[in-house]
Amino acid sequence: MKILSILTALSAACAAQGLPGNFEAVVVTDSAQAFVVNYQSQTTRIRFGGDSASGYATWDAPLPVANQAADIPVWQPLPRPGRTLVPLAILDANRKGLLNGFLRIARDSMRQIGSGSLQGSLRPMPTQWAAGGDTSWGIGDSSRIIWRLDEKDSLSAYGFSGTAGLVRLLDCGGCDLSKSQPGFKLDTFALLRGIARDSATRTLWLAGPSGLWSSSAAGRSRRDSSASLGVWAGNRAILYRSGRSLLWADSAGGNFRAVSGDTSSFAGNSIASVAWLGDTAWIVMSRNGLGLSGLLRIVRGQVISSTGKSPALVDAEDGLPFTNDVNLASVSIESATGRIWIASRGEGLAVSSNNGRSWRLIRHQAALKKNLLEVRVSPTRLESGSSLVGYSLDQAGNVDIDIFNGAMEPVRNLTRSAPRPAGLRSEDPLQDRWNGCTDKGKLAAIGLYYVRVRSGNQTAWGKVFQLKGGSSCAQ
Amino acid sequence: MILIGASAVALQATELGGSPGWVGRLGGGTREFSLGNAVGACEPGALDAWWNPASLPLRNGWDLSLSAEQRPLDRQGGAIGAATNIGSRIGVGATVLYRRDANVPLYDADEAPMGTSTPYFLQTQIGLGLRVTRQISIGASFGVYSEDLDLDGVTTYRAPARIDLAALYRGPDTLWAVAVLIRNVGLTSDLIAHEDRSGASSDGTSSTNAGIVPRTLEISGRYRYHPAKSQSIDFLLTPVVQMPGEAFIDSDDATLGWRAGLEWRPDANWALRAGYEQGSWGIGGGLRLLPWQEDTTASRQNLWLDYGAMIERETGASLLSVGLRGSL
Repeated sequence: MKILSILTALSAACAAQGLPGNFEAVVVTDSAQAFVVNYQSQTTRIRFGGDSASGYATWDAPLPVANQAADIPVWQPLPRPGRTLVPLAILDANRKGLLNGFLRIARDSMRQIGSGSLQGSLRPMPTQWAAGGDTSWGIGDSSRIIWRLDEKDSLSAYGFSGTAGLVRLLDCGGCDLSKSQPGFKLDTFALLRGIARDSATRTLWLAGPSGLWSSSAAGRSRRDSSASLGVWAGNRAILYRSGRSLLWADSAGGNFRAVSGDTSSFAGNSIASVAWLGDTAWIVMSRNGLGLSGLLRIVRGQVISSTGKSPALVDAEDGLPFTNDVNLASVSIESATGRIWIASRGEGLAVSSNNGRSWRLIRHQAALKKNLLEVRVSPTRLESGSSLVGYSLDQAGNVDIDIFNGAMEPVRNLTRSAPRPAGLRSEDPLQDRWNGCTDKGKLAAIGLYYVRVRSGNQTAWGKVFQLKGGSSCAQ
Repeated sequence: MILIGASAVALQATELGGSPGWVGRLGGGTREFSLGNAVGACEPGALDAWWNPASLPLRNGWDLSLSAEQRPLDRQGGAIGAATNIGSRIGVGATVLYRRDANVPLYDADEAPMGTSTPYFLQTQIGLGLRVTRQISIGASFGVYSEDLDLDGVTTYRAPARIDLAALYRGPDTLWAVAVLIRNVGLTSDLIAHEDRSGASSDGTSSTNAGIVPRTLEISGRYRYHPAKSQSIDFLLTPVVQMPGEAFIDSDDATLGWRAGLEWRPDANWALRAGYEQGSWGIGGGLRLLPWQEDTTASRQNLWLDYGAMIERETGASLLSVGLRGSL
């Protein structure tokens, strides 16, 4: 029996090939997630993680740059509001060309990616971009823009469209964006700090040492003359970094105003990543030089802290499942569900489905067997709070979840014909969770319980130990 | 109305499911298992300390029983029991019900594997019976429950001592019998079997979980029919009332369940059985390994091999049980 137990434990350990904790970026779309875990800078291989429809997994994939120089100095995953593809823009080693690969992360094809082949198809690069010379490249704000500046001060910017691939947003040869605006010479943009596009007004924003500029059908204008460190655009607002200040403007054309509230976290920090959810901007701040960072939430131009502390960073005190000296990498938000994903270097991913009120850590989640062949209750030791009933459906369906004791006597009905999407376990903190209570609102006796999940003709079982003390369910 | 009533019972049953004492409610013994556990008024057996201590004096010699079963979801169990008489009016017996889960994979909140657990659960019952008259006997048994969840930091020994009280009436021709059994009467002033369970969380925080072991009223009936001289058919029926609340009789908390069984003995050497309990159906049989012989009727010596199978309602899967019963 002892040998059997050891074999069982070994088997479980081998099956658990979850995510490591180190993430360089997280990219989510409405239907899937892709996590750039890390990359090997001296090779053309990159390691990705993602939602494989049955769990989170990682895989190594060769980038489609095998014949290029063996260095990837600049790379950035580019979220694209499509359902199946995530563009991945990669600059080659000499910074003279841009490879525009597309990661196919649709759920159905994740298994193909997981088997080791990158389902990337290279889109044609703009021919003029292939020209050599002293060229600078960059990635725009929330990453739907790639820009290029050559030695002739020609600035061009491309964005991703749903069907046409790269679409030219700006082509500014010898770029005097506005002859009526003295001081706007492109050579001052050699240190271009950011480009963003406001999709609502179709305004292109450029931030650089000479200030903040906008370009739209109505013309081009200089909006601020102080040195700009970056600009980020959401659907409803524009965020703009000038010196130590952070400014906010409604995308409807409002004037920039300084972000209010506790702004003490701005000092010494730079903005690593911005994601938008309605009129809220989630910002990953990286602390210059120290490699430390924090998470900031700005709602309608005001820094919001749920705990009122200063600096007003979202941290462990707010439920973020990271240590306070964690090095955050990026933030991304699913527009359809509003789920917020935070990638950290070393401590995994944090996910929130309720606008940051609660977070779930994803670090070791091994793949669940598909088609409802496995139920995993975590934590299995229910000592406080609640345990999540994890399962994976091949296709959307209605789900029943029931709890039984060892004699198969019913204890609790968690859901009855509740609609659930295909794929992963729920991230909703109120969904598919058992708090140890019976249907009549009493705490179940300490002991072992069995969890049955049914959907259609499929049934699977999990197990959980109820170890909560007391008799009240209000905990 | 029946559906409404069934729904109400199902809702109340969830209270029962969250209460301590499930090992006892599951019962034990292969023959009993395939008779739907409707065995309170059956002929005496080795597990009478559990099923009906009032049957303990109704024997002449030793009865022994050993059984094991495999249920879906890695649930295993078994029962061992012994009973004998002391003189013509007193009988004693002991029964141990054993349950375990052979494989509970453990995960932390992030689904990192934390090994496996193999918890076990024991219900031990010691009984004493007294024959009052030729037809009437009474009995009581004393029970102790313990378990080990096989989890670091969790103290799992509990000692909720409880008492079962029983009475049995057999008709003059022994063709029928009725038994009444009240389980889980506590030794406290309120006669409630309180169960205190304590544990320690991984962060060192201790916790206590107090519960009431549901009292149970079982009224068992048996009727024996002889279709032929060497044949017999036993019809068994046991309504069971579970009371998980504090009040002895509380219609809001009480649940009513049914057990039914049928045992057909074509002759003295084998038997076929069928049973029903709370939506689960079972079948089984028994083979007498020491064939009964006409000229050795003075001896009680026998040995039965029992087997049973059941379709469990909730898991929808079959489970098997095998056991040996003998008399000396």
